[in-house]
Amino acid sequence: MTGLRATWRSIAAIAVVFSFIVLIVMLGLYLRPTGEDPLDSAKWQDLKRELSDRPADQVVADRLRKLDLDLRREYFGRRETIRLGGTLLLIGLLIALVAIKRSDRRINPVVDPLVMEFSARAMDRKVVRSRWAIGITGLLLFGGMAYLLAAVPAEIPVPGAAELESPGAVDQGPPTVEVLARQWASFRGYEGSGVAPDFEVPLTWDGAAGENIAWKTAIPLSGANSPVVWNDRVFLTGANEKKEEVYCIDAKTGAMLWKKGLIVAGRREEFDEPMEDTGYAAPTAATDGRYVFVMFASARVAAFDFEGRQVWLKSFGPLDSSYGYSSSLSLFEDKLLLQLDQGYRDDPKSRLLALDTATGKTVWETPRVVDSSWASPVVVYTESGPQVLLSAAPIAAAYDPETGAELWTAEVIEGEVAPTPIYRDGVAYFVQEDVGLFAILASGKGNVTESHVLFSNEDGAPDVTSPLVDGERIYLLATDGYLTCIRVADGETIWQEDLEGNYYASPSLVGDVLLLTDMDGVTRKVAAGDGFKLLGENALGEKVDASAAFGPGRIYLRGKKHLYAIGVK
Amino acid sequence: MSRTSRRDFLRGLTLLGVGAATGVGIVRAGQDDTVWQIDPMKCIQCGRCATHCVLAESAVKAVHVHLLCGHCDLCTAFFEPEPIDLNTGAENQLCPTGAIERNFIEEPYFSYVIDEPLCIGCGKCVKGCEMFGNGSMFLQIRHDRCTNCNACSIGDACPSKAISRVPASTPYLLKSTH
Repeated sequence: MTGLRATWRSIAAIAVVFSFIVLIVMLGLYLRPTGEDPLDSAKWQDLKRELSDRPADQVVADRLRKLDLDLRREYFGRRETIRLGGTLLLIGLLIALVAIKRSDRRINPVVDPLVMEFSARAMDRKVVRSRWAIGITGLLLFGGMAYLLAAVPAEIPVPGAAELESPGAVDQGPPTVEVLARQWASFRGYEGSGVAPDFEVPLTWDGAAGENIAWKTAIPLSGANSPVVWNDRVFLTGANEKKEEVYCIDAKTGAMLWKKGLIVAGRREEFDEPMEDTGYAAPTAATDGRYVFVMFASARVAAFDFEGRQVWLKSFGPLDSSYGYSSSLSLFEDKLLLQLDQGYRDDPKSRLLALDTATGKTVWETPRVVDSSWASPVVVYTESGPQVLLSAAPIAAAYDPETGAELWTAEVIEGEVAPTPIYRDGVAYFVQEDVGLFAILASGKGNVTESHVLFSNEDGAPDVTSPLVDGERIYLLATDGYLTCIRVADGETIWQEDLEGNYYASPSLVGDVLLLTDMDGVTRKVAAGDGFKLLGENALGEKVDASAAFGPGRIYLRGKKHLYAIGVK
Repeated sequence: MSRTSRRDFLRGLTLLGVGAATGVGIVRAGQDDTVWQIDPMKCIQCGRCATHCVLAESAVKAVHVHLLCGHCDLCTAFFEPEPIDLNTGAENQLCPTGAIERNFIEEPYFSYVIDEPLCIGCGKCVKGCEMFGNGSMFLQIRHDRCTNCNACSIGDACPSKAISRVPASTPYLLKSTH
C-alpha cells in the first residue's frame, strides 16, 4: 500500500505544479485589460489613415483587413484561453486535493505496541505533511482569490464634469450679444440688418483684373445661400439633387479647410424639386463659434463642429413649399431657430422651432397659422427683451426666442413673402411685394394691428430682397432694380431710382455706402442719404445671387462657382 | 490541549458550510426581487460597460429592436463616420469586434443582427445609432451573464447613473415602438 500512497503523492505533486503553472499563466493574461478595443492597435490606426488617404489602394485595404482579422483572433483567443484556464485550474486543484487525501489515507490500524509506536511517529509525520499539503492548497486558492479581489478596484473614481460632456460639446457657452455683433454669424449678419460692422474694407474691386481680390476659391456645388463668417473661417453650403455639402474656408488664404457631405442614415426622403432659382441650398448657414448649422431644401438640418465632424442631423421634410425651401437659420443663445412655414393657413402645418444647438433636440415648438414663407427668422434685441421676427401671410409676428411664446402679431401681410424683416430703434420693418412696407413698434402685446403700426408705404416693395435701414432711411431694392428710399420719421418716400440690372442679393451698408450687387455680379455703390447718388460700380466677373458677408478687412461675395474675398491680400 | 478528531472537524466544516449557505441565501433572498439594468434613455455610451464589469467578459451587450430599425443602407451603427465604401470591409466597420452582421433585404434596405458572443458592450454602435439613426440599438445587462452583485461596479462608474435595480419580473428596459 506504500507504493499506492507514493503514487498518490506523485499525482498530488503534479496536480499542484500544474495548477500553479495555470495560475501563473492566467495571472499574465489578466494583466491585460479585458475590455480593450482590439482596434486600438497603433498599427491598425496607421493603416486606417493610410487607406483614408488612398481609398482606392487595394493592397493597403487587404493589409488592413488581414491585420483586423489577426487582432480579433488574438482578442477572442485570449478570452477563450482565460475561460479554459479557469476550468483547468479548477480541475487541477480538485485532483490535487483528492490525491493529497488519498496519499494520506491510513489503511489498517495496527495493534502491536511496537508498531503502535512506529505508527504514532509515522502519524505525526503524516500530520505534518497533511498540514503542508493543506497549507499549499490553501495558499493557491486564497492567493488566486486575493488576486481576483485585487483586480476589482476597491474605489472607482467618480468621473469629473468634463467626462460627462456630450461628444463634440465644448466648454464655452454660447456667444454674447457683443461678440455676435462683431461677427457675420447668420444671414445678413447681426440682427439680419445687412449693416457691416465698422471693419475697414475696400470699396473698389475688379474680379477679372484681380484688383483687391484677396483670393478666389472654387465652390464644388452651387447654392443661393450667403457665406457666414466667424473669425478666420467662412462657411457656406452647396447641393444638388444627390449631394448636400458644407464648406469651411480659411478667411486669410481662401484654402478649403474642409468639405463635408451630410451623413444621412438610411434612405433619403424624396421631396419636390425646387425651382431653379431657389435651388437645393438656399438657406444660409448660421454659426455660434462652436458649431456651424446648415439646412437644405430637403429640410435636413445638421450641425458640424469647426473640425468638420457632423455632430447631429435632423430631418423635417419633405416640406410643402412651392418654390423650394429657402428660410435661413437663426440663433439665439443655445437654440437654433427654424421657420418651417409651409402649405396654407386653412390646413396649417407651419411652425417655429427651436433646437438645442448641442444635440439637435427640440427645445420648443410653436404652431403658426400662416401660409408658406421664404423669409428667414431674425433675432433682434429690443429694450423689452429679445424677439424673433417672422414674416408670413397673414401676419407680421414676434416671438420670445427663449420660450417660443407669441409676443405680438399684426395682420398686415398677404401673398408670398421672401424679404426678411429688419429692426432698428424699437421698430420692426416688414415688407411684401403686394402690400408694401409696414413699420411696427416692437413693444406691443397680442394683436397690434390697430395699435402699433406706425406707417405703411406701398412704393417699390421688393419680392425677394430684404430691406435695409440706416437709422433715418429705409432702402428697398426690387428685383428689377428699382431702388426706393423711405423716411423713417414719417414713412414718406424720399426718392426712387431705376438702377440697371436685376437683383436677388439683398443690399448691404458699409459706413454710409450702400452696396447693391446685381445678378451679373456688378456691385453698384450708392450713397446713403436723402438724395440719390451713384458712387461707382465694381464688376466681379461672375453671376451673383447671394448677399454679401463681412469680416475684418474682407467682403465676401459668392458667385455662381466661386467665393471671392475682397480685400488686401 | 485536546486534539480535534476528524469527525469533529468534518462536523464543524459541515456546520460552517450550512451556516454560510444560509447566510448567502438570506442575502440573496433580499436581492432576488430586483436585478441591475441600464436605462437606455439615460445611457450616454461612455464605453465603461465594456471595461468595468467584474466579469472578464462584460454582462452588458448591445440589443437591437428591429421594429424600430430604419434598415438603413448607411447605418451609422454599423459603419464608422464617413466610411470609404458601404460594404462590410473591416476598414468601414465601427464595431471593434465585428459583432454586427449586415444582411441585404431589398434595395435599399439591410438588416443588422448582433452576434452576441462577439459583443463586448462597448456601445459604439449604440452611439452611432443614437446620433443619426432611430436609436433602435441600445445596451442592456444580460441576466444570463450578470451575477447580480450587491454593488454593480459598472453602475458605480456610470457617469450618467443609468444603471439601477429594476424588478426581476421585468428585468429588461427595452425601447418599443409606442
